[in-house]
Amino acid sequence: MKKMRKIMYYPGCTIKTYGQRYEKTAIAVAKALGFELIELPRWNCCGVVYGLSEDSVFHHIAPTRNLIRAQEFSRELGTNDLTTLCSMCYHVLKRVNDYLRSNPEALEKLNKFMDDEEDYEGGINVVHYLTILRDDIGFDKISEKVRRRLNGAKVACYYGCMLVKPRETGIDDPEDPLIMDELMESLGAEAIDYPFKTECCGAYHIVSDKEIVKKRAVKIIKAALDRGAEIIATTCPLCHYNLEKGMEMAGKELRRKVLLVYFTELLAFALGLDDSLEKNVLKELKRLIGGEK
Amino acid sequence: MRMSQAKTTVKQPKMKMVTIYVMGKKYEVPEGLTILKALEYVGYRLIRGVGCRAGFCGACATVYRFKDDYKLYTGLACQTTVKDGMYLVMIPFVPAKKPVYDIEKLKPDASTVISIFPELTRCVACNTCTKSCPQEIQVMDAVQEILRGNLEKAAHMVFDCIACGICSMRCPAEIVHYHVFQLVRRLYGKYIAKKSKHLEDKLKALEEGAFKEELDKLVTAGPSVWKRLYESREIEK
Repeated sequence: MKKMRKIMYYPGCTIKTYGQRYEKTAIAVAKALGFELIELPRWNCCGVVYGLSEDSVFHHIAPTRNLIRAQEFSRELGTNDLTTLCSMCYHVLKRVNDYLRSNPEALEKLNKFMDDEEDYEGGINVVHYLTILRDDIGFDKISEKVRRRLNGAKVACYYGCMLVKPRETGIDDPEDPLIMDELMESLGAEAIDYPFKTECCGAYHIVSDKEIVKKRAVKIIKAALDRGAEIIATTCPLCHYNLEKGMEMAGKELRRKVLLVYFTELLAFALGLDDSLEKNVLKELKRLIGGEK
Repeated sequence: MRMSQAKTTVKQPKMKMVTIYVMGKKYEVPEGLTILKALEYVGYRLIRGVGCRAGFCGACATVYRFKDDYKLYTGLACQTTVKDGMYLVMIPFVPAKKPVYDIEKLKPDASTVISIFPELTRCVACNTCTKSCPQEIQVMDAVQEILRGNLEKAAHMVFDCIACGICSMRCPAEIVHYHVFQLVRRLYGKYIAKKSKHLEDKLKALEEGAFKEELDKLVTAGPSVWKRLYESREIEK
C-alpha cells in the first residue's frame, strides 16, 4: 500500500462539539485521498478572534501556544504543515503565525512570557484543508476518484469572512473566492453564483442579538435560493450554526427549502464514504442527488 | 547531682539556620522545617489557613519569592520546606464565586459548564494556573478539555485537585478552577462514569437490612465495649 502522507491537524473546540460531522467526514475524505490528519496530542483554544490592538500581545498567547505544540509535534511527524478545518481557527492561527514571522519583537515578548514552553521559531505552515485539496492533491485527481457524481446538484458555496479575509491570510480572492466552487464542479455539482457568498453570518451576535443573525442568514439563504440553490456548503462551524439558527428563526419561509452541509460532507458523499456521514444527512443527500454509486 | 546532670547533657550539634522573611520581617529558622512549622517556630499561632498538615486538605496555600528572582513561587505551607532568602506569606482564604446548581437537572456537556461558569471562555491559554499548581495538574489543559466538551478527560486530569485555590488567585481570566473542576467531577460521576454493579448491589442489600442486627448490637453495647473494640480494631499495617 502507498504510504499515507501525514499532516498535523488542529481541530478546535467547535469542531469537537457542534461540528463533529465536519471533522468525521474531513478525516474520512483525507484518508480516501491518501493523506492522514494527525491530531496534535496537546492543543488549546485557537484564541477565536485575532487581537487587533497593536500594543497588546496577550490575545496572541493561545494561538502561539498551539504553534509551539505543532512545532514540538513536527519533529515527531516530520512535517511542518499544520492544517485545520474551522475558518475561525484557520484565520487566527495563520494570521498570528504571519504576524510573529514579521514581528521578531512580539515573538520575543511572547516567548519570554511563555517561559514554561520552548521558544516558537516561526517554522510552522498553517494551511487550510481546502488548500491542501487544491494544491497538494489536485481537484482533477479528486474528480477521478468520484464514485457518485453529484448529478448537477445546485450548490451555493458559502465562504463567510474568515476563510478569505483579509487578503493576506485568506485562501482565495476576498470578494469573489472560487476555490470551493471549483471543487464542487469537480464532483459534478453545479456551483451557483450568488451575491452574498462572503457576506458575514453575524458571527458572535448569535449570543447577544439573535435578530442580527436572523436578518443576515435570511438574506444570504434567500439570495442562494433565488439562484436555484438546493444545497448550501460551508467551511465554518460558526457560519453553519448561524445559518441553521437563522433558518429556524425564519420559520416556515425557509423550512426545508435548502440543505445546509459542510463541503466535506458533499465530498464524502461523492467519494462514497457513506459511513462517515450522519444518517439524516446521507438520507437528504440521497433524496436530492440520487443514491447509486 | 549537679555534676551528673551536667555529664548527661548531650552536646547538641549546631542547627543550621536559614533566613526567611515573613510578611517582610526577617527571621532565622532551622533548615529543613516546612513553611508551616517555621511560622510556628517564629511564634505565629495558626488558626485559619492550616488543616491536615499532610498535603491533602489544601488549606495552607502560600506564595513566596527570592531576592533577585522575578518568579512568584507557590506551594502548600505544610509540604514546602523553607529555603534561605525566602520572602513568603500564607493565603489563608481564597474568595470565590460558588454557584448553586441542581446536579439532577444538568447535562454532562461543555455548554452546561460554561452556562454555570461563563468566565471559563475568558481563558487565553496563558498557563499561569498550571505553573502555580502545587499538585502538578495540567490546569489549563483541563480547562481546554472542558471547553471542547471532553468532560471525562478533564475529570481524570483534575482528580488530584485539593482546592487550595492558588490557580484561581493567579488566573487573569478570574476563573475559579476548583469549583469548575468539582462540577466536572460530579457530572462525570453522575452521568459518564460506568455504574458499578457491586455498589448498587451493596446499597440495595443495606436498604434491605443487611448488617442491621450487627449494627443494632453495636449501638446498644455501651461505652466500655466501644472502647475495647476501638482499642483492638484492625488498623492499616
